[in-house]
Amino acid sequence: MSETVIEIAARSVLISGAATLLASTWSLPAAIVLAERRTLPRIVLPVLESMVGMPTVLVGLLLYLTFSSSGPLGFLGLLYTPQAIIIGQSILVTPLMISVSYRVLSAASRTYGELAETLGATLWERRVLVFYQSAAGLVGAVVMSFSRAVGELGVALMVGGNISGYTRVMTTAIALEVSKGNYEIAVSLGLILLAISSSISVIIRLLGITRVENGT
Amino acid sequence: MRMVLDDVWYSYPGQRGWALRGVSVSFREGELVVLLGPNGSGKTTLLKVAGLLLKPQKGRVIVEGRDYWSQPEEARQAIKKKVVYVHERPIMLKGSVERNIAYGLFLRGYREEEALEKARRLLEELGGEKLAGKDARSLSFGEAQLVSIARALAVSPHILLLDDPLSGLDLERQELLLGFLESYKENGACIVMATHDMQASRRADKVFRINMGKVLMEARS
Ligand SMILES: Nc1ncnc2c1ncn2[C@@H]1O[C@H](COP(=O)(O)OP(=O)(O)OP(=O)(O)O)[C@@H](O)[C@H]1O
Ligand SMILES: [Mg+2]
Repeated sequence: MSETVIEIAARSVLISGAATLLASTWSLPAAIVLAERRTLPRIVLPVLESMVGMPTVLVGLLLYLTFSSSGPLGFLGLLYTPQAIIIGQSILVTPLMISVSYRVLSAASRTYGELAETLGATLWERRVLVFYQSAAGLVGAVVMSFSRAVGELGVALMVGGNISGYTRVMTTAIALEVSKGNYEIAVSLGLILLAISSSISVIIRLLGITRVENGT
Repeated sequence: MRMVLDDVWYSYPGQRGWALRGVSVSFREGELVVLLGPNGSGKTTLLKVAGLLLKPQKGRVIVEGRDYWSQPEEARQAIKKKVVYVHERPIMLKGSVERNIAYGLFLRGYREEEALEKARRLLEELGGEKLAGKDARSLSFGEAQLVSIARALAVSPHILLLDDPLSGLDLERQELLLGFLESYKENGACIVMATHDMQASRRADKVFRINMGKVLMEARS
């Protein structure tokens, strides 16, 4: 291989980490706004949840068509860049992040939100309390989204293009090694990917940013 | 502060049927009002409507002569700061007991030390001095109930709505609380308490009985 596994792994973490952060900037606000409503149209949650399992190749294909030179956003020149993967993965994990954090926040909004309200909090003070009290659950939602992003292949392959030293990430590297018949390398890459995605979650818990807490 | 519920109807979103069906009651300063009624009769709902947390679909909530829900947002916020509802199941925030009690004081811009000091004093007066310094999430039900009542009292509400506050307290602390509330209302506050405790209802200035969302009668004790 022309670059080391460490480089590829680091790129995977950076790209998927950026995608997860990007997705949080709209998913968490969307979740809190949904959670503050006493009722939701019945269709919202099922639709959101059905989109959690969106096929990654489909997202990859749609983005490919959008970013390709004849597509509507072709002029941006994003196709086969890390930025394209970041955008694609952030879209991919959005339904997951919204639906998991919605569940956490709607429970918290009904309890902590109402408590804040009755003690005279403004809308923003109320949101701060609800977020703070839900921190453990929200970190969980973000970690799950990162795992989904770092482990997906469709988007990275179709809009990233698996360019060595530039857009090659763990999953596309594995696919490449398999196509070359290097099963042993592919399996060890796969194990490294598994280790990355599970250790991130463990590290975050161990850092003590949040404690897994029970109930209210 | 005076509050009147005038022919209030409330239905939970997505539910058929009314949880409150034409309730008219009034509370005034210096009063201890007790709300009696079986499970599911609408006590919590009534207290949350009076607590300005639920907006009734029909009828008016009149606070100091003005229809609360037709006022502009800033006016409502100012009134809301004086009306506090205490949940039936206590809600404990992360952190120490004192910080929980001081939460409303922090919202009102109190300095840290001042707020925590006030929290400790209040805790002592309610017989909870042993709880100081504990992690609020590790408390028993009754202990948490005491803390959540203290948290409401800390902000000196003009109208205090207590949802079954005695259920988790031992007899000694029930007595302490009732004594505290009796002297608290003398300063002009109004206290409304839902309870199943007949003993407590004897000490009320006014008793409302509620059943199936309707206030059946108002009894003077
Ligand atoms: N969040 C809710 N959503 C839908 N219906 C509700 C909700 N809360 C209460 N209800 C219904 O409204 C009615 C009145 O309930 P409420 O909680 O006010 O009774 P309660 O008198 O406080 O009972 P308890 O003594 O058990 O506390 C009940 O029929 C209940 O099923
Ligand atoms: Mg109740």
